[in-house]
Amino acid sequence: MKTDRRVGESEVNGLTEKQFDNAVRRILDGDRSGLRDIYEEYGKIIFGTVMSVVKSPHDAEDITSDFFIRLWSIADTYVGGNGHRRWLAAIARNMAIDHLRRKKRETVADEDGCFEETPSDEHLEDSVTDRLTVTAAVDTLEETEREIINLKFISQLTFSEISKILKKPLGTVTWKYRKALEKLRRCIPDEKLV
Amino acid sequence: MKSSFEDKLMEKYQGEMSQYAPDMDKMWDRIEAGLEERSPRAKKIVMHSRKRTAAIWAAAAIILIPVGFKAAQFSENSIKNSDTAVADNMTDGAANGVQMEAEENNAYADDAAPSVDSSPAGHLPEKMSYNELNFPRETAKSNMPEIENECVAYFVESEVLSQTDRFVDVKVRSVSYNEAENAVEYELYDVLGDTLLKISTTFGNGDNNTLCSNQYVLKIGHEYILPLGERDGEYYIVFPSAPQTELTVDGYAVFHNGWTSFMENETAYLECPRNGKDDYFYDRMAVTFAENLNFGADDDSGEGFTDKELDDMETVDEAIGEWLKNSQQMPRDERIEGAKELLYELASEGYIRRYSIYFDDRNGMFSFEYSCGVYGGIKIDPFDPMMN
Repeated sequence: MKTDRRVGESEVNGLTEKQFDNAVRRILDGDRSGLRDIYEEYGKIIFGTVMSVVKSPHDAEDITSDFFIRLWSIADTYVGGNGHRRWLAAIARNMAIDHLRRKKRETVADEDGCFEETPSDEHLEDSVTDRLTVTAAVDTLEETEREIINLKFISQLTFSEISKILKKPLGTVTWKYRKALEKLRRCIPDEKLV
Repeated sequence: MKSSFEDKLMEKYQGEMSQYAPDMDKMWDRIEAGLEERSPRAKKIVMHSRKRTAAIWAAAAIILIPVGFKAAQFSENSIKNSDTAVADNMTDGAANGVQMEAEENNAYADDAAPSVDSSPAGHLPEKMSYNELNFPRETAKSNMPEIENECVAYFVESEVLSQTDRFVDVKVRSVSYNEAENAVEYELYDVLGDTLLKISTTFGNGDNNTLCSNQYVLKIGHEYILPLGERDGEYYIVFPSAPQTELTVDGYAVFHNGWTSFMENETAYLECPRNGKDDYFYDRMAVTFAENLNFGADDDSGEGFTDKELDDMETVDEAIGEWLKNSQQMPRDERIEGAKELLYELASEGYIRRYSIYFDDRNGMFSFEYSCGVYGGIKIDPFDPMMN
């Protein structure tokens, strides 16, 4: 029998568990360099994670700032060696979802469920088409599929980590991921990805 | 595994998101301005303190044994090598229906991972040996003939997933060969769904979900995570011509590295003996902690029992304890029949899982699961500490 020899390897860079534990220890000692190291490594990923939920760069920036301020104060709740990427992504995602809930309560007029604020186009003059093909396509996915794609592509988590965050079986996560990819493949032509 | 489409899509999507990213230096200034001074910690980081909770609950197995038999109280560490631990950990038993925290000689009970817990910080070594893992003992032999076809299929995870309708955690109850159909027929206990599944796989060359060699036939008593497809209302194993993902009794999962999504976990290379000249998987097996696969289980499994679950367990224990008291003098056949009737009666009232009831004649013991999933057992034969 011939089998596929390819072995999946995590392509994600970032801090090792040991480095992250070390950064947390420094935070607990009141040393801001610990937080700075985490911010430099994961700041953009956290921003992306939040942005993929709230869809507003302005809100995402606020939430990301709050995230790191909160991280400074809750670092002692971190359980070392337990998968820091998942821990960070779960906190960021929860903060973003909380923000959306608050905003939804406040935005009574927004009856069709659309967000009041949409990403500013001023940075995107040359990429409107791209935004429509990928971001908009992802937005058309069913909620769980969209979350899986965002956690995989933007938060750069493994399937196993995603399964734990979403509290869904790994098999369901990988299967839904494949389904989502199939849908995206149908609505995004290859040439748009060049 | 990523197709080029997947790579390009991810890159494009990340690119779009990064266009919204703010000035990171300015944002840091803002964050830093919001930080309060904190005094040096008094608390140390706890390594893996939470990790085993669910597994420990899962290991809480209860055996009820007849009056007059000695009861053994096992420590968690005795779970792994139950046969020798029985003799080493014996204490004098008390009265009827004594509860024990582990099960002796029960292929279905030991889901905990004491050996994993005892490893430094719970990390896997680079390499492990198949022989050092603990699989359930096969409780019976199947009647499989030697079958060896030329295997032509490639295992490709994405293709397997595209055919998979559901994953199931199963324990193999029986395996038989149907000569007329040239097929292997399984009776599988679906652990989470508490149902029995009957699945047949035809022998062939590995294409179209056929089984090309009996080296990939599931073993009786062993526990697997199987990808199942559904066709015309019947389930079939997707890509049966490969070693299936198997759970050990001490908390590991063994799989071949074609499952690339599993390889994202912390894994160790698993040295396996070659199973015949056409075994193309023996040098590509991997092992990880079973909990990393997280199939079908929510994270709240370690939160303990509800009051109702505790009450239900107590009801079952009382019923069995009473029955044990009255059945001491019965011949073995009658005790077996009586225990079976009692368990099915309890199952009909929802106190235990109906399809979890299983009698292991060799060890003279019924095993079952309480409604909350905890394992239990009734020992029919006198307890023999020297029994192997």
